[in-house]
Amino acid sequence: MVTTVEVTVNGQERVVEIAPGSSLLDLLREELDLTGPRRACDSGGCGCCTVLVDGRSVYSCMMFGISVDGRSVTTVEGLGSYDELDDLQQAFVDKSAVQCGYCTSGMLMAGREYLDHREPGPAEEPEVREAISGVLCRCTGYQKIVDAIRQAADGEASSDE
Amino acid sequence: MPVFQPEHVVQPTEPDELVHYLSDSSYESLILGGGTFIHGLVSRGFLGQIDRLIDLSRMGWSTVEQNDPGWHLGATATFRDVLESPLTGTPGAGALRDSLEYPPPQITNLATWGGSLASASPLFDIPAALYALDAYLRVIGRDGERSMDLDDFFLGHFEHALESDEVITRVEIPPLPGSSASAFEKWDTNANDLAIVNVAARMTLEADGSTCRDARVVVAGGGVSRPRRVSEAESELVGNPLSGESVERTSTAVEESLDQEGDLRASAEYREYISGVLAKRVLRRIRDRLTGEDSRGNHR
Repeated sequence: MVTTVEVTVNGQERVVEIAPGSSLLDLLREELDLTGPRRACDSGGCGCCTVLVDGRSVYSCMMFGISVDGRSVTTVEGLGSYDELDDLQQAFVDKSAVQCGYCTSGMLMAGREYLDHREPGPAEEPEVREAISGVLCRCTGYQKIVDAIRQAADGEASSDE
Repeated sequence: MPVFQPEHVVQPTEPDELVHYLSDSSYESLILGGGTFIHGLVSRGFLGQIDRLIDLSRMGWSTVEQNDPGWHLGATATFRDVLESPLTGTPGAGALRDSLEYPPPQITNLATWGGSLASASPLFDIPAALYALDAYLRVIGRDGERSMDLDDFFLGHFEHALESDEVITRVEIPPLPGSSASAFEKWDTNANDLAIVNVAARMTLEADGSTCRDARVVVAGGGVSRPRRVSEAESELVGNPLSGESVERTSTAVEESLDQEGDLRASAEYREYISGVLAKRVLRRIRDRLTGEDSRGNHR
């Protein structure tokens, strides 16, 4: 049996047929060819598969595909393009916040949720570290990632003024 | 190892419809709340053959309501729903707020209250905090609706006392008087770790504002098969003011009263010692919350 899921992915309405037990990660990678969300631990331990559902981060390997029916999903492919990077992606470039790159899409999505939901004011390092606590960087290159998110926060805050 | 390929999914919207599916033994069914525990079980080979998913997302159980004088947390409310409710701003529910600070956002946004309890894992944080608040469950099944104390609910590792045709509809938290405060501490090795040890406690004061009228002390984590109340520790608190001496005595009772289990992550002795340390921290935070001096922000 397959079940039909109607979901908005990166702004586009999609209709997908999946097996009931498929994860959201299966739906994105196998059905929609969106490979930005990485498959790594496949059990909610590493965060490489992080995407946003209705603006909030989830592990797409844990969430069932059927659970996004009628909802909106954003993957790293929906943040920006090669020609026009999202502010946070640009900050990662500016701060060299990428080492092996495997966690990068997860870090970007966790960082994007933080930027979109944080309280006004300076982005303090502890709260940024808490925001990305669900994504593991195996290169242990956290400091530049934190610096990049703080830079993006400062930039987005000043552009709001 | 069975392959996780349920052939069917049902998404009931009414209790009668749900109970019908739960009572239908022609399928091996699995209840889907947030789903955060399921693929982890699958990847470790811990889940048997499943034919059908029963998805609760359309039951309308995701509300968090103050139901004077207590609180009702819908079974499919997410941790985020509760974290952002006024409930977690009260000293009495401090243990809940503390426990909700530990999971990463990806879990907070997806995991549900009913699922956290129904998993019946002593490794989880939320059940220990709820146990310290004397929370109880409302469940429905073929024989109707009933309440169940957490005392009766937890049986052991991944074992609970629900019948196969029953499901949790909501968690109810009794009134939390202004003279009560609670706190929770977790001992883990990283931000995404399951508990090596958890300790939660709650105190309610007499009208004199200092003597403890009622107390709960709960230990959970990897060293016990279910969240455990430590009555020896509670006895050290009740009838006394919360002082440095009573904190020490309670900590010792926590350390010495439970025979915890060891595993590859921590020895039994280590867990028992850490339980005592966490008990001190929890009680000091309760003291600060009772006196309005808790300026503590994030736990990490």
